[in-house]
Order: sequence, then structure tokens, then C-alpha cells
Amino acid sequence: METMSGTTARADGFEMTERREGDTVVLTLVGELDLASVGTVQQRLAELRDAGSPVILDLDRLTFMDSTGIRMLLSACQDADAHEWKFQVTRGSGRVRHLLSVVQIADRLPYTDGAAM
Amino acid sequence: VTPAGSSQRSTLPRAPGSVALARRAVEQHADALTDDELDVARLLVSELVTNAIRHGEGEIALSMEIDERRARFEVRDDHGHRARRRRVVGAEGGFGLNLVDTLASRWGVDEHNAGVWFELERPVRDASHHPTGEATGPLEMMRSALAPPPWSRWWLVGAGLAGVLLAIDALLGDAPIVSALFVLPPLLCAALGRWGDTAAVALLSFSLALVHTIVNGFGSRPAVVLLTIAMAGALTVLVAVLRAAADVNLRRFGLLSAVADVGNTAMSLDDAVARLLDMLSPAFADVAILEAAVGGPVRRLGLRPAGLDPVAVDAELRSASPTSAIHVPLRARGETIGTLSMLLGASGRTYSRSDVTFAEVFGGRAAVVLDNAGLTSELYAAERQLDAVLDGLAEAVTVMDADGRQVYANDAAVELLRLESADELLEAEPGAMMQRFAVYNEAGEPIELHDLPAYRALAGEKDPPPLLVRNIVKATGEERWLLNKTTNITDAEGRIVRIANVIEDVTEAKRGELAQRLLAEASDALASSLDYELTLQRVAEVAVPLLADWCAVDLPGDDGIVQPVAVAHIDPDKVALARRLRSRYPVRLDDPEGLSLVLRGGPSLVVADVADEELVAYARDAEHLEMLRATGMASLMIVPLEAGGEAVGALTLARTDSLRRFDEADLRLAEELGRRAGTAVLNARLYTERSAIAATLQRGLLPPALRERPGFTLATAYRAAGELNEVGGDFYDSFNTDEGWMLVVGDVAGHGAEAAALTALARYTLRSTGQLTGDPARAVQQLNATLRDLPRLSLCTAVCAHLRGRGRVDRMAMSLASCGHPHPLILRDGELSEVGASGPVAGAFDDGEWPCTSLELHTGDMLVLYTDGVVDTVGTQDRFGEARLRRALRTPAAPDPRTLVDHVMAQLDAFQDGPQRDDTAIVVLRFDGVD
Repeated sequence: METMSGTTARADGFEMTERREGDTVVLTLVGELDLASVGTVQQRLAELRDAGSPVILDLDRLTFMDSTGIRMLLSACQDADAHEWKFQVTRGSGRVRHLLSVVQIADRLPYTDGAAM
Repeated sequence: VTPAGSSQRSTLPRAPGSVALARRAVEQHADALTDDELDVARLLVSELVTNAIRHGEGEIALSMEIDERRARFEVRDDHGHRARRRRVVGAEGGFGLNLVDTLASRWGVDEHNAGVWFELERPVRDASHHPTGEATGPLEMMRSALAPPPWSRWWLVGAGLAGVLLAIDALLGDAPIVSALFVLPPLLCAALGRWGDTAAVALLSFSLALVHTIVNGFGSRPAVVLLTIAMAGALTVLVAVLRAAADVNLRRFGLLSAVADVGNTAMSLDDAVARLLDMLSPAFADVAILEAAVGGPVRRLGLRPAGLDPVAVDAELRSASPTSAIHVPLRARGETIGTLSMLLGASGRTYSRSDVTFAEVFGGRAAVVLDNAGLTSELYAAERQLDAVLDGLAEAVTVMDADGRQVYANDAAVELLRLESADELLEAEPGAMMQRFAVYNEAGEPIELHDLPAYRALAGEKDPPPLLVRNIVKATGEERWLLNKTTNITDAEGRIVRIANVIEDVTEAKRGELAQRLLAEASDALASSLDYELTLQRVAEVAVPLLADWCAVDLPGDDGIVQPVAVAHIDPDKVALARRLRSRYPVRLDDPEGLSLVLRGGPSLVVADVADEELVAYARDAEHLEMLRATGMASLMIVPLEAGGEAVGALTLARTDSLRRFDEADLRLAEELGRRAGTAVLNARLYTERSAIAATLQRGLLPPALRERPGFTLATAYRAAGELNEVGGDFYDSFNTDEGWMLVVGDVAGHGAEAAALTALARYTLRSTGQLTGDPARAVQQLNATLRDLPRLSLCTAVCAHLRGRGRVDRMAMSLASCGHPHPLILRDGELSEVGASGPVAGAFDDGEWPCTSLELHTGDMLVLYTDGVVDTVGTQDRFGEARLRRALRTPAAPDPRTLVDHVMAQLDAFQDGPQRDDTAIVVLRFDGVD
């Protein structure tokens, strides 16, 4: 069962909550992910990567994401390859999926349901 | 027809939070957009603002124009900073640009390279209709030149393996397990990542399995196995094809991102061309050629492979007979600037339809990159030239934008504004620089920022006149005179985009002018009066406010106290204070320092910055300190009033504005003023002394009229040479003797006080000797002896006439003696004759003979005695001379002494040219007969 870690990071219009599912840390992003909020996520991902914790990034509750978010996702994917770090994302909200399809990387991300890669 | 539309402009700070603010602004303003349009607008504005925050400078301006047909959004740096040269083209990274390019109907970079705009056509086209978003079938994608070659040796391996399996199956007969092994060849290819081979081998392999089964009959094999095999084969083919298509997509995406990266980096045109061509060849083209008009006419900018000989390339291309080619136009800023050609031949690839679409997109983006690189090159070249020109100017030039921000400062401006570097000015808030200076106009009134021509132009005034200001660097107290001029740079619609401010340092000229004015006014004041106290007061008033706020003149007094003689203050109330200060706390001439030291011949004293501690140290008590503080002196100079190398007084100058400190130039000017005033003081003093002596002597030496003598009529005229105060060397006198009376006319050589003293001596010698002896010859002899006794050579001419009232009523006996004097004349019956004989001039020799001539005067005779000033009077050509004198004396028809004297003087006046050079005396005596 899920256990809440209780860690929450907030910015205007954006919130990141963290919980653990066994070894895996689930980071849920809520609201709008852009230049103002991406730093928080990047920093936390880097910490978890260095700690070797598998991560699932939950994009399902994002109401907005721009290319700043895409950059962050791709850079996390690269880190995952380079550091043998388990990094996965959820399919994402409608807007997120649309954005990923526009830049044609929707089918290149490591999804939690294992549909690609 | 103007479609109903609206526009809005917002300014956002350069902070990450502004990305969300920009989206809120879009949501609020763009309520007319459909949800899909709004999504796109939000996303793209977010991209552009992010880009501006990352790569721009200053605040960010977001403008939106929405009407029925289109929505236009523009994001620009709201900052005319010099650093705008930096590239801001493109959007955030490759993805941002890709998004803008994909989702916007049109987009571009504005010509000033400071903003990015995009437009959405309304109804906006669905993103999937856009060229790059076009749904392209996977098989189509596999045909792309970017797809890995479909066939390779692995295809042969797979085909061979399938053949072997077929043979085994035939030998073993009816073995279901072998049929299942037909999945192996495609799996092998898939494992190797050869998607093209996988699809082909899978197709072959399962076709063989199926054919074999059909030919041999189903036998014991269950239909379900066959179906499974067939489906697995189809799936493998499908996955392989999709995978290959995705690879192509990814490679296209990578190329577009790479172009965006080129656009995001400032680089030269050559570098940009090289980067673009390297992306295309060999990945997408065997030969890639870029031809465009960038920074010149259309020319071949470059081609790949680099080894090709540019001259022979056309022939080469023809001989290579390309199998497939794409030519796309390069369009930037609405114009076609060239073409991009991509050819395939040697590699055996061909272009697909989707490759053409991709090439168009790539070409569009490459065009923007090339255009920007060209613009940047031109801009850099132009700016470099301009910088070089402006930096070479002696005048300071600063440029500000329409918002009042400084965007440029040349070297001279950096120097003039006392900056470390131009960036210091450019980074300062508008007007912040003004805080470093105290600025006044010529009248001394403070100048505000908005009074400066550049800021008046900014406020909309047309051609504000140049402004001369006195600018004081607060940090150092340095004073400069700066002439501010301004020029506007306007855009096509006449709006001001830049304001150039030219500042000329005219300190030297202005100071010279001020010094000249001060000295000229001081000279006028000094020449205005011979009363030196009045003169010095006027000088003090000239010095305020031209040179100082407070000026005082002090002279050493007889009682050992320094006497303040003049004071002027810019604030009239302070004049009384200054006087009170000096009367309450007098300065003694023997004080060791300050004013007294200067008065005793010490050097000039300058205290550029009067510290309060110095006042405290100087003050004698609390009240003194309070008064000293009340004067408000902030900078002080004391210079001597110098004359003949000595200090005859002191000039104290003070400024009350702590920012206007006295400097070297002020000191030089003050010392010059001191010298001029000192000379004036000395002259005035000498004048005063001399005037006093002369007046006294004159009173004693020149009886206004000779005494009336019974039986005689006398008339005299006397005119001293030069100024009134010059005591003349001429004299006349009459005195009684035992026998009658004696008339004397004389002339002492020299002028002034010394001559006056000699005159007195001569006159009293003649008088006393004449009275005692009654002998004119003895009188002049004694005069000679007296003058010879004097230590210095002193000369005197004189004639003595002794009139002895004895004898007949109509005759008068007269004896004459003369020492070098012009002979007397007697006018008798209209005839003039010289009388008497002369001895040597008195005082010349120890010995001498002075004969005494005796004669008789008849009734009506006129005796004329005169000094050589009469005959020596200088006219235009010669001297008056005896002949003219005689003529003048004979002219009047009915002569009497007064008429004769007046007539001669009138003749002299008429004759004389220029100032009178010598004393002139004339005495006419008529013998009227004795009763």
C-alpha cells in the first residue's frame, strides 16, 4: 500500500507531493509546470538520482506544461540511461500528452505501464 | 473595413514567475479565443517569455492583438540595452522553437532582433494539419532518406535462414515445431535493430511457412498454430515498420532542434552556413547546397561534401545524375532570400513526399538563421564602426532609449561622468547618475533632470535648446562647465527611438570667460574712484558671486589690529554678521596664522574643504564658534593684496556651498585680483598723501592775487601743468621794501612736491633778501647761493623788479635783475621792447654776475613778466615763441593789464595742442602815475 512521506513543495499554481511505494518514490506534479516551478522538480530528481531511488514522475495532474518541462523529462531520461537509474513517468494529463505528441516524443518516454522502452 | 479587435500590452519583470503571469494575461485578454486556440496561445507565450527571461535583458513586454481573423502575440525585451545585440531569436531550446513553429500559423523575429512574434490564424488550423504534424504513414516514413537503408546483408542472412528452415521442414516432413521456428529469422533481425530487414525477413519467412503449409496440406498441424504464426509475423512487420518510422521522426526532430540551437547562438554567417550544411550532409543528403542573398547578392554560401570543387560542382552533379533531389525556397521576413538544394544519388536513397515537407520546414528555419546571422554580421560591423567613431570623439556622447534608459556611452562620456565603465551607466536606473553631481545653470539655480535637453526631448519637446550647466562632482568638489546638446533619432513614423546627448566640456573656455569678466569688472571698479575704501568695497562686490559667495578685504591698521574695510556676501543678512564677527573678535596683526600671516607677507592660504573641527580649533569661545559656523563657509581662500612685492592688504574669499570647492584655477584668479586691488590701494594711498602735501603747499605758494599797489594796475594768470594736485614750479610774489615794492616772477625746474618745496625756498629767499637789501641783484645772488647749498642740483630762474616810488609823479624808477629768466617786456605807445640783462640761472654755478638794470617807467607803460611756459607752449607744429607773444600783446586796441593777460591766455589756449606741459605764469603791470 501507499505510504505518504508528507513532503510537499509549493509554488504559485504548482505543487509537488512525494510519496513512497516500496523503494520507489512517486513525485506527483500538480498545476502548472514552467520555468518558475521546474527548478524544484529538477533539484528533487537530482537528489533521488544520486541516492539511487527509483522514481515515478506523475504527470497526470498537470494543467500546463511547456518545453521547459520537456527538457526536464528528456534530461532525466538521459540521466537514467547514464546512471542506471530507474526513472519512469505516467502517461500524463490530456494537455501533457498533446504537448508530447506535438514534439513527437510521446512514444519515447519510459512510461510506468511499460508501453514504450 | 477594420475587424473588431483589441490589443493589449503588459510589462512583466524578468523573473521566472512571469511565465505564469504571461499566461494569466493571455487568459484574461484572449477570452475571444476558442479553448484550443487558447491552449496554443498559452503554451507559445509561455515559451517566448521563458526564452526572453533566459536570454534577454530587462523587463519583458508582452503585446497581444486579437481580431476576428487572427491573434498576434509578441514578446520582447522592454529594454533598449546595448546588450540587445545578444541574440534572442528563437524560442526556448529546440523544443520551444519547434513548438512555435509547429503550432503557430506564422512566426518571426522582429527586425530589431529584440522580440519574437507569432500569429494564430482564426479559426486556427488544427496542429495535425501543419506540414510537420501531417499524419504520415509509417511506410511512407520508411521511405525517407533519413530512414536506415531497408536492405542489408542481414536480410540475406534472414532469407538464408528461412530457406534452411524450409529445407529442414521438407526433410522432416510434417513437424509442427519446425513451422514454429520460422519466427527466428525476423527475431534475429529485430534483435540487431534492423527494422527494415526485420520487416522484409518476417514477410519472407512467414510467407514461406504459409506457402509450404498450403502446398503440403495442413496435415497434422493444428490451424491454430498456423494462425498464430501468421499473426506473429504480421505483428513483427508492423512493429518494425512503426519503429523505423519513429526513428525517422526522431532524426527529423533532432535536425530541427539543432537548427534552433544554431539560431540561439550568435555566430558568423560562415559558421552558421557550415553548421546547417553539416546537419544535412550526409545524414539527409549526399550533396547539399546553400545559395542565398545574405549581406550581398545571391551567391553560393556553401556546399557539402566539403571536398567538392565549387567550380566543377555543377558538372559533377550532372555526371553523378542524382536520383532524387529537393529544392526548397529560403524565406525570411516575407522574402525569398535563396534556395536550399539537397540531392541523393551515390547512397542509393531517394526522397519521400514527407521528406519534401520536412525539407520545407528545415529550409524555413535555416532561412531565419541565415538572415539573422547576416543581420548580426551587418549590425556588428555597423556598431563597431559607430563605436570606433564615437569613442574617438572628444565630446561625450550618451544615447538613451525612449524610456529614458541609457543604452550607450562613449569613452569620453565614461571619463566625463567619472565612471568605471560604460556598463555602470547602462545598468543605472534612469536619472540615478544625476545624484552624483550638483548641477546649476549660469545664474546659479539648481538644475533638475527634466531641465536637461535630452530629458526635455524625452518629454516630447521639439529641438530643446542647448543648455550650459555648471556641474560639480559631489565626490571631489570638482567643478566643470558642460554644454548639453541633444539629437533625436526617430523611426519611420517619427516616434523617438533614441536620444543622443552630446556633452561638451567647456570648463576652460567658461572659466577663462568668467576670469576675464571678473578682472574687467574689477578693473572698472578699481578705476572708478581714488577713494580706496570705496574701491575695495566695489571689488568685493564684483567677486560675489562670480568667484565666491563671500568676500572681505582687510588692511593692516596702525593699532596692530587688522582693519576690515570691505565685505560683500551673497546673502545680505550675512554682511552684518561678518561685520559683527570682526568687531566682536578683532584679528590682531601679530596673530600667528591665517589672515594675519598673509598680511605679514605669507603665502596665499587655501582651505578647499573647511572642516568643522578647524572652526572649533580656531574659535576663541562658544559664541565665536557659533558666529563662525553661521557664516556657512565651506571653502576658503585668503590671498594678499600685493603691490610692489609687498602685501598691502588681504582678500578673503569663501564659498558656502560645500560642493564648490576652490581649486588651483580659482586661486590663480584670486591672486590676480589681489594684485590688481593691491596696486590700486597703493596708488590710492600715494595719491592721498601727495594730494594732501600739494594742497598745503599750493595754499602757501600761490596767493590768489597780488596786493593792490597805489599807482599801478596788476593782472596775473597762472596755470599749473598736469593735474590740479601737481604743484607748479612757477611762482610770483610782491612785497614791500624800504623804498617801494618788489615784484618777483620765477620758475623752479621740476614738478610735484619736491618742486613745490624748492619753490617755497626760492620764493622766501627772494622775499627776505629783497626786503632786506632792496636790491634785486643781491636777491638773485642770494638765491643762487641758497640753491648751491642744497645737496642736490636745484635750478631756478627769476626776475626781480624793484619799483621805487620816489621822484616825479609821471615817472617811476625801476631796477631789474634776472637769473636766466626770459626778459621782461615793456609796452610803451604800442611798441614792445625787452628790458634788463640776465645773469646765469640760479643754482647752476657757485660764482656769477647778476647785473642790475635801472630804468624809468612812464605813465601808461606796461611791464610784462612771464615764465618760459608761455613761449614754450607746444602747438601742432612749433612752440608759441616770443614773436607770437609780442603779436598777442600788441593786438588789443585799448590795452589794459587784464585784457592783455586774458588775450595772451586765450591765444595760448588756441595754440596749444595736447595737454599743457609746463607751468605758465604771466604778470602784467601798468604804471598809472602817482598822485
